[in-house]
Amino acid sequence: MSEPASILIVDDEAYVRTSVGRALELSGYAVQMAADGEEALQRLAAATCDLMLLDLRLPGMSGTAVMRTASQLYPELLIIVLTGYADEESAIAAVQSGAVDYLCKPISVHQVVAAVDITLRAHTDRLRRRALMQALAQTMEALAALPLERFIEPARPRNDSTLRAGSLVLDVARRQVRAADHGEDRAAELTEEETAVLAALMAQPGRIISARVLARGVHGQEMTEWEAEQLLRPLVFELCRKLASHAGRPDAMRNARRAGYFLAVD
Amino acid sequence: MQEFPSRRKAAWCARILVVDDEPRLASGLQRALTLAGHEADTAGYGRRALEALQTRVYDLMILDLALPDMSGIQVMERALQLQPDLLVIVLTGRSNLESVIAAVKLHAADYLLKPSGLAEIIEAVVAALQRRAAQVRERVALRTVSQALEILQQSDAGDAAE
Repeated sequence: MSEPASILIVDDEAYVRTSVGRALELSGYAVQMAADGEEALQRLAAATCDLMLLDLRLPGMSGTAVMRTASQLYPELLIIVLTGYADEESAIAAVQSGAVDYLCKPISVHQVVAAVDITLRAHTDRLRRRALMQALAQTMEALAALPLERFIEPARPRNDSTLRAGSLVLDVARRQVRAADHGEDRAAELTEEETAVLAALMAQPGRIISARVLARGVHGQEMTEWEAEQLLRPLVFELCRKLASHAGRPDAMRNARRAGYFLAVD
Repeated sequence: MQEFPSRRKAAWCARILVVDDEPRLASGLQRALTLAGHEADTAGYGRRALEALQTRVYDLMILDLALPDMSGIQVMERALQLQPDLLVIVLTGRSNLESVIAAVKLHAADYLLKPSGLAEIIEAVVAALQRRAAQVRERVALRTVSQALEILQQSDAGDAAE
């Protein structure tokens, strides 16, 4: 790693901030500090940070609120809770905010540094992603100066066809699906991704299409079968729900074990 | 909660293992998950759960911490050794600080206290699947971008050599 990982220490006790901060700097990390929640969120907004060491008892905004806000705004941020008042409620909040560790005071500075080391080593992929994002941002800045239009293919004309399979009718352009004997007022609204998946299945009813092929159609990117399945799951869930409630076809989409999905013709 | 009238035929969304020693609760949860479009198996004790994890790949496990034969945290540790990508939602009646901290360290997807409504549990499942999908999406996008950057750099190097 060319750049040192950056760590934000949030604690209202100046003594804790400086002692932990110095130890982390000696271990080669870049350290920032904040004395309360508001300052912590300001610092996170101002500069990328890899890991936040968070005391939960803070003046003003509560530590759990800081944790929930930060994890929502920065899903890649690693959070280690460091608290003198451990309790179940705050620990549950830590699980739900995706915190990676929960340390109880009193604890030696040594142990804190060790926990940080372990966490960062276990999440090197996240650090690499951050480095990549920075490289990308710089590239984008450089690219912004170029006339990009000539590199980009003109957008495909919108597909305004209507697909039919059994009793299902899919209006691709308007992203609506309904039962053939239902009026358009009862159609379910689909997202762009849901439309793409359903259109692929309806184009070849009964044929099994692998998750990878479906996901590539949606995202235009190559990925492993496992990744494709993870991406499709919430999407299939929503799609099945809509087919059940609006088109009367709860069982239209089927799974073929791990081979993929297909549309059952009624 | 939306229900699927025909539950055996619909596409399952996620494969879920319910680990709870109360058979009523486990089968109720299994039924609710199936109605919500998932495929669910149940295990009444820890060793049974680990057997199931050795024979099938699951997306998510809903785990009671108070099991007759092993501690829930032990089950979670072994389960993650067997299937590192498994999402775990803890659902427990007898909770204590120590086990919640263990759940943080093992990166549980959620921690629910009994009694939790079925709708709340199903919602937690969907939320966990969505978070996982978002992570995978970001991973795939970044990989695509880094591959594209690499190709660009290689063609730059080729241009310079000419």
